[in-house]
Amino acid sequence: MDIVRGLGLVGAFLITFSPITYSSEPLAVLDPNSPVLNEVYKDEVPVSGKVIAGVGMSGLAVKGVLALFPKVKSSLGFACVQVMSRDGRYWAENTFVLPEIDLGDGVQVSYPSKYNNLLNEYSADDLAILSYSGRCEKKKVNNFMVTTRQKLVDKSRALIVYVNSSRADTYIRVMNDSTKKVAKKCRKITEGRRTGYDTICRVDMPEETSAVNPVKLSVYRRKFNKSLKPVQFLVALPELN
Amino acid sequence: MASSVMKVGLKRVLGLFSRGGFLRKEWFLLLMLIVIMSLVLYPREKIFTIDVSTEVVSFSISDPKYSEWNIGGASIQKDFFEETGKKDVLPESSRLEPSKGVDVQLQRHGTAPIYITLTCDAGSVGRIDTGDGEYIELGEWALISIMGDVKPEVFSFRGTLDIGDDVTVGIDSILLGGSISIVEEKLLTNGHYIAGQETLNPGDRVQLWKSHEPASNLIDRGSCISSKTLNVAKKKREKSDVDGFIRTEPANNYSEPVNALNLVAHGKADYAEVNRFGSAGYEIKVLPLTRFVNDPILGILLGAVTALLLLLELVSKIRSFNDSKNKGNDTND
Repeated sequence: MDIVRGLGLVGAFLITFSPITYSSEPLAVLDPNSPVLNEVYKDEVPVSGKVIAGVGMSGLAVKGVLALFPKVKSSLGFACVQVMSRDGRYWAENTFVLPEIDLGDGVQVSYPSKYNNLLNEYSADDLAILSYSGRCEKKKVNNFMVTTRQKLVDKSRALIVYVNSSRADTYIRVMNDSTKKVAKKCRKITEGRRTGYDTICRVDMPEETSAVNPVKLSVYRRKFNKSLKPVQFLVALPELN
Repeated sequence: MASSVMKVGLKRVLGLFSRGGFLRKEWFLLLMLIVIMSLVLYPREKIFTIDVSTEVVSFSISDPKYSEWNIGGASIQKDFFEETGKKDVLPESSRLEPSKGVDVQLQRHGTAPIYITLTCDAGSVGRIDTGDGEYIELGEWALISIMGDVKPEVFSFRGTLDIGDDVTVGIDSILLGGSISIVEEKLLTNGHYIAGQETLNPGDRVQLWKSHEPASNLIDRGSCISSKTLNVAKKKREKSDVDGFIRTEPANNYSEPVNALNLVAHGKADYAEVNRFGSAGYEIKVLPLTRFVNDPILGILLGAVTALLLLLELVSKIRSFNDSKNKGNDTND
């Protein structure tokens, strides 16, 4: 009886703390040219200061811990995935090789992190993932793909943009969809450390397919009497039909 | 007669502590230990006092009546997307009436103008009474700019407080320095004593926290709905409400005006959380065991119990010495 209970406990431990992967699902793996995950976990990690820290989507059904939604049918394409915690303690930037998938399918990411236990503990608001097509060496990027993680699955469907606003008041606006053109106020994070990013913008996306794809977003920031330059970027939405 | 009664009484009391007595020394020691530890660990009111100089301070207003400010002569912008140069100047007798739950942020560099932003997630941040019977209704965002170059200003408030900003890319306003004192009430009296004091470094960010209580006092039928206040009930800890004020001095009329914003705030809390650049940060709290050092009444009580225990030990030794002496006499007989 004790042996059975012990095996059960070991099984529960492994299920809880192992990176979940499913062999039948398409899986993005690390670029063979840099097979070790480039990641840092320290009390304070220097952050880039980029305004857009992450683009995610809640309410998508995913089986893995981390998933990407590439914008086109891809075959041996690359995706750069940046992961940053809100408190600025965790930072990673890695190139992954994408498997061949159909349009709209999610791609699980095999993420062999030393810190998976810690990453799994970060709440929905506390970890930002930014991903774009191509290798991470790309200099200028303003076209992102949707990412998601297990902590976002249970929430209503919305596009989430994690912003390093420099403590400015922030609004977001969808520029190319007339139904969502009203600027929406973003939520400032006030609790705890905000070295990575400090603001979360949500654009509700209740519909299965968007009338426009990709969506063009603009983030407006205002620091007291000074308006900062708006940041514009495109996000390719997954087709979920 | 009286002395013999006293002797008998003392003998009976000491008899209680004898080996066969009702209260043995060990039990008494245990009882005293339990009483003292209960007194030490019993939760007491702790008041945190913050006295800092800072370039930026934010708070969420919990009591609008306590947080009304005269803002005559200030300029206001009511639309986030309005041009930054365009401003409406308010009449001299204008008074700000903020809504409950509104987030307020004050910023000042040196003796430059004071900027106040009022924001809430949905609804209205409040209104301005112009003093001539008219009100200016505000939306979910407003910026008030006060030149502050002629007279000092004082802004009082009641709410949850964030002082300074955690240093990162793009930050231009920080806490400049100051201290936090923790005042704790004395045992069995209404008196208080300073239980601890910490110096804050430039660049620190400070928040006061207490163990979670239902946040019904923060959620109001009022006009400013904040996701922060709505979500607070789900959290394990809750920001402490403090009473405070911010004073600013003008560049003119003072030979050496005090720069930035001078903040004094008091509030009940369990601990202060300090985020410090380059470290994991730390918490400022009073450990119950430090009450032995800080609380004079607890110190006196502990001294009295120690003296009593020494007396009992002495009585016990005398008794055992007498017993062994009597036993020796009996053997000799």
